Parts: sequence; structure tokens; C-alpha cells
Amino acid sequence: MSGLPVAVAALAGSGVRVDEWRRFSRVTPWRGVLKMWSFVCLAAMWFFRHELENGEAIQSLRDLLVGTFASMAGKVCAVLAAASLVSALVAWIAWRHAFFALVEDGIHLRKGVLWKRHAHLRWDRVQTVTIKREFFARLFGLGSLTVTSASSDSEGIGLGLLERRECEELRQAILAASDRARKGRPIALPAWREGAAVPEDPAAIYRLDARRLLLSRLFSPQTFGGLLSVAGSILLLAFESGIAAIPLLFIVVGALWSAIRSTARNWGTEVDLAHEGIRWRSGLTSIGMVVFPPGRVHAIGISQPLPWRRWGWWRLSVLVAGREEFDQTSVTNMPYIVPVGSRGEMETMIWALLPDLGVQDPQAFLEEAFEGGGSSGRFLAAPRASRLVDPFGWRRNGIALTDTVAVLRRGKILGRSVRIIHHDRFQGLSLRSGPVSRRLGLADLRFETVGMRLSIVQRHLSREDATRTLDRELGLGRSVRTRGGRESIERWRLRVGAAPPREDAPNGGAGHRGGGEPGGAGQSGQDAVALAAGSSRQRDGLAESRGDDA
Amino acid sequence: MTSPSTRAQGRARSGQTVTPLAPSLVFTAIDPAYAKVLRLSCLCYGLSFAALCAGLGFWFEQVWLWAMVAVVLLDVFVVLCLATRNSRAYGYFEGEDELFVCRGLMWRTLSAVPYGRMQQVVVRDGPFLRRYRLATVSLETASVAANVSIPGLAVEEAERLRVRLTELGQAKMEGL
Repeated sequence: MSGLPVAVAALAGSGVRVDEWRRFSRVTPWRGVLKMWSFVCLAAMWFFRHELENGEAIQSLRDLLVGTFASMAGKVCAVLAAASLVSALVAWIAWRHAFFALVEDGIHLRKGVLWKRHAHLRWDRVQTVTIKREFFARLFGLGSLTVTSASSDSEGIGLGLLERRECEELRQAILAASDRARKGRPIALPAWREGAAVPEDPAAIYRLDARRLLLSRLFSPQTFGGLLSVAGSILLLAFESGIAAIPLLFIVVGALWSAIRSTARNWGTEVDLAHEGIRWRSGLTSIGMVVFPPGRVHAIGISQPLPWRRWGWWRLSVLVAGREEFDQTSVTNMPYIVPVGSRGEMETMIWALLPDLGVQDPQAFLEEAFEGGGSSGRFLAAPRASRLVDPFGWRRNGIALTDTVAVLRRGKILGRSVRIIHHDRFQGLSLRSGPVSRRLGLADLRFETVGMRLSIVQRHLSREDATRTLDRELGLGRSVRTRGGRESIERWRLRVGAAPPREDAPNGGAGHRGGGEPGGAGQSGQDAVALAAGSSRQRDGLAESRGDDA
Repeated sequence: MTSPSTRAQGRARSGQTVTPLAPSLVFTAIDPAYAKVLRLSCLCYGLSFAALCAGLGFWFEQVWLWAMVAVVLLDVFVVLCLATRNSRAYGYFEGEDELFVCRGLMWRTLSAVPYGRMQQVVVRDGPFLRRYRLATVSLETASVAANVSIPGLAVEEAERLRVRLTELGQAKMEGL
């Protein structure tokens, strides 16, 4: 990593001192070669899939394969070798010209030979820092970082590959610097270069074991859908043999593939209370990691697919301002930070995310939000008239406005859900009433939020209730906004007892990895009944695990 | 929602709009000329699309293209019939802290956007709107879904609203 740039001249005019620039890991160019090869494999797969779909029998495919390789094996190998060489060279040149620097005014990234790019992200614009460890990177003990801003059209700054330890240190340094910049303090420049210790593991409040993950994937709506389509294909096969086997094969392979992907993606999910906020990690082949301050959470969505009701499992997702929070999940698949968890774990998560539910008896309130139905002192339910348009969910549908949040309880055919949104987070409210709803005197109340990930709608309220609720919610939003009741990160740390910052850590090192196993805190937190009790228990658990370390 | 109830009065007077979603508010109606804009643009786009379909129908001799022509013409007819009522269903109300906008005949909608949430106010017009000296005021927030627009305001009124909304947005500015 030492040995300075060929392209020093180009770096000179950038406003950053030349010796501040740093290179990425030497292994980085090899990633390009690997990418080329995986592209070749993919292309080959697509080609043969196309052949298969054309209805040609496996036999002819085999003939084709054997024939091709027999006649042109030498040529194919030569072409691929040449391509590897060229892509390696290109990747190496690209690596030689890629630099990054952390300086007083932010993060700089320069790359490109013909098309140069100089990205500059100011400290106070940093939104999220994500560490990603892809399969290839993990082989070499490396990882990469993505730093995003709120800008809607930039994909963020990607830093990588770097050593795993460096990734962790960089992340800490960037978060610390952006925190200081936001508070207007001078930026104390990151000590990560001195090779500071690996930070201790913060307290885990959620940990997913393999058994539960596999069971939950097995009893998911997707599995049932897959089974249905397989059954359909078998029927088809019975009546019209032969050719129908091919789509069947594809469906089975597709279902299996998506199940494996979802399992791998959610493997070993862990949620911790880190110093900078809530830290989420998951993944088998590539580990994704995100840290977000709970103050940036706009809304929480908790849902339960129908097959999970037997076990009382739920899943939880959060709506966070900013874009690339969970980059390893596709847009169509809503990322759940807790892919499957018990009621107790959900309540622990709510406790970690929300300073206050704004009710007298949070336990009874949550019981009602998760399991309840009908009107009560707290919840305003959908009227009986709505059973015509919502035969399965109408009993469960209801909304509660507490002092701090709005809680929307919904029921559907294939599951139920709870949505929680801060009063001061909606961008607008709207009421809607279609032709049928209007006949029945019903209306939907919709909370418009940043981002599209969670739709927050309470459907089929009676029209009078909807109007009144809209009015009340606007009022609550006003008063909360003027009161400014948002929880600062300092107060959050105190409340949940988050891990101390790195400087306070007694003695970073290998001892922490083994001794700091924070499972105890998380596990005991699972059955935390009252939220308050959960809080104290968490703190005790953390103290214990810290004691072990020392 | 402080204004006296107008529900007892039944129909709103001219220049005013009411909606069952907020019975206690009296909304300012948009310019009645907006119905003409709706009709004009519907005729222009609808008929040219129908002509295109018909042309293709002649060329390719496909039945479904002719079916499409029929559907488009029916749609144009419905829009022409409902244009007046539709434009009457639009209304806005400048509350103390929020802007309320109501719209829609079949699918009635009431939107409320706090002034503090406003990111920017945009005034737009087009050839049809300009012909009747009208403009559309859009209020944009950080949420795409919460953006509201009030079409068919007289140009002076649109300008007044833009200035007023921008002022209010600045006075009550908040973060996300």
C-alpha cells in the first residue's frame, strides 16, 4: 500500500495533499478477472438454457457440447486465456489509478484512466456506511465499504477492496468524523491509520439460528406458491407428457434457487446495539453490514405471513431515510432486518428503535397491537360495514394514536401486520374513498413517507372516524414537531446501554472476540416481557459481558 | 378545521367545493375554465391516439386494433361528459399549518400536507392551460406520494399561491 502513484501529477491539483492518497488492496484487480469468468459462466448458462427452451433434447445438447469441445477446445481455451489476460491488465491499470483519501473536508475518491472520476463526499453529508464482504473478498480476508449520501442520483462512494480490519476502522472513523461534522466540531482525523484495535462486539439483541431460518423459509408463502405451481406442472405432465417436464424443471430449479438465495442472504442475521446506532449483519456467502442511528428510522413495519401464526413468528422492517441501506437485497424483496423472530424479539426491537410508545401500559398496548381486534379504549376499529370489502381482515383492522406514534393494525387473507410511524415523520396525509367504499361510508387513511418501502395505510375506516383521525394526527404531528421530541443518539445510548465507543474499550484484541460473546444478553432479552424490564435486562447483560472481557 | 359546517347547505355555492371526507372545510374551487382545458386536451390526445389505432387497423387488419379505437372513443366520450363535474371536484384550502387539496369524483381523495414539509413549489402551464390563462401549482415534498398539485388556477391566483406557499414553507421549515 505504500509506494506512491504513477499518476502523482494528476493527483497534485486535486486540493488534497499527495501523501494523503491511498491505494486499495493489491488483490482488487483479481476481482475483475473473477467477474469476467463469472460472466462467461453466466453467458454459457443462458445460452444452454435458451437451447433447452427451444425444445431441443438433452441428447443434441450433449452432442453439441462434446462436438464443440472436441473440435475447438484449443481455440476456446486460447480465447478465454487471452480475455483473462486482457481483463487482468485492465483491472490492474484501473487499480493503479484508483485512490482514496480521508481529509478534513471529507472523503475523496479518484479513479479512471480515460474517463476520470473524482468523487468528494463531505463529512456532514454522509448518511450510511456499509461494509460488504463478498465471497471472493472473504477468501482473502478482505471487504469493501460503501458510503452513501442522501443524494438521490449517486450510488455512493465504493471503497474496496481493503483488509477486513481496515474496513471496520474506516467505518468507525467515517461515522465518528461525520458525527463531529454534524455537530460543528473540528474533525479529529481518523486514527485508523495507526492500526487501532478491533472494536469489541456490541450487545446483540437479536440473533437468528439456522433451524429457525430454515423452518421459516420452508413455511413461507413463497414455498406454498412454488408447491402449487409444481403441482400444476405435474398435472400438466400427466395429461401431456414429455415436453411439460422442461418448464417443471425450471420452476423447481427457480424455486430452489430463490429459497437458497433468501436463506443465504438472511443467514446468521444479527442485530446489535453499537455505539453509532443499531448494527445489522447477515449473509452466508457475502456478509452485509449496516449501521443506522435509530433517530433516522421513520417507521417500523412488522408482519406475519399466515403459515407463521402457529409459531407466533413475525418479521420486521424499518423505513430509514437514505437510499442504499440494504444494498444486497433487491427492490422487489423488502429487506427485513429481522427476517423471523418471536413476539418478545419484536418487542425488544421496538424498544431499541423507539424511545417511547406514548402509552401508560406498553405491554398491554403491544398485546393489543399484535394480537387484538375490534375497538377498545386505544384502538379505533374498522366498522362492521367493512366486512363486505375486507372479509378476512375487518375484525383486526384498527388504528391507535398515542402521544408519540401512530400504530396501524391490519389483517389480510395471507397474514397480518402492524405499522408504527412517528407523528413527526409523515410528509403528508391523505384520505381516499373509492366508489364501493363510498357506498359503505368508508375511507382509507394513508401516511405518505419518504421512500416507498413501507406503505402505511389504514384501510376501511368509517368516513367520520377517518376524518377525525386525520384531524387528530395533523394536530399531533404539529405538536410533536414544535416540541421537537426526537431522541438524540446520546440519549439513545444512555437509554439502551449501547456499547461504549472504541476509545473507552479496555483493551482491543483477540480476547474480545471470544470473551465478548454477547449472546447471553440477546437471548435473555428475547423473553423480555415489559419494555422497561427489557431495558434494564439489556443493560445488565451488557455489564456482564463487559465484565467477562476485563 | 375551524370553518363552519357547510354540509347543511347541501350544494356548495359557486367558487366553492365541499367533500364528504372533510365536511367541516369549505374549499376554494379551481377556475371553471379548467373543464374546457380537460376537454380540449382529452380530445386532442384521445382523437390522435384513436386515429393512430385506426390507421394501424387499416394497415394490419387486426380486430383488436379496432376494438381499441372503440375503447379510446368511449373513454374520450366519458371524459367529455364528466369534465365539468371533475373540475368542480377540485378544491384547495389554506389551513393554518397545512394545505388541504381535494379531488376526484369516483375516487375521492383529500390530501393534507404540512407547510413545513414543502421542499419546493412549482408553477407549470401548457399550451391548453395558457389559452385560458391558467396554471398548475404543484407542491413537492420529500415523498413522491405526498406531492399535491392544484390544476387550473388563474395565473394571478397561481402566482399568489406560489409566493404564499413558499413564504409559509420557509417560515415553518422543518427537516425530514
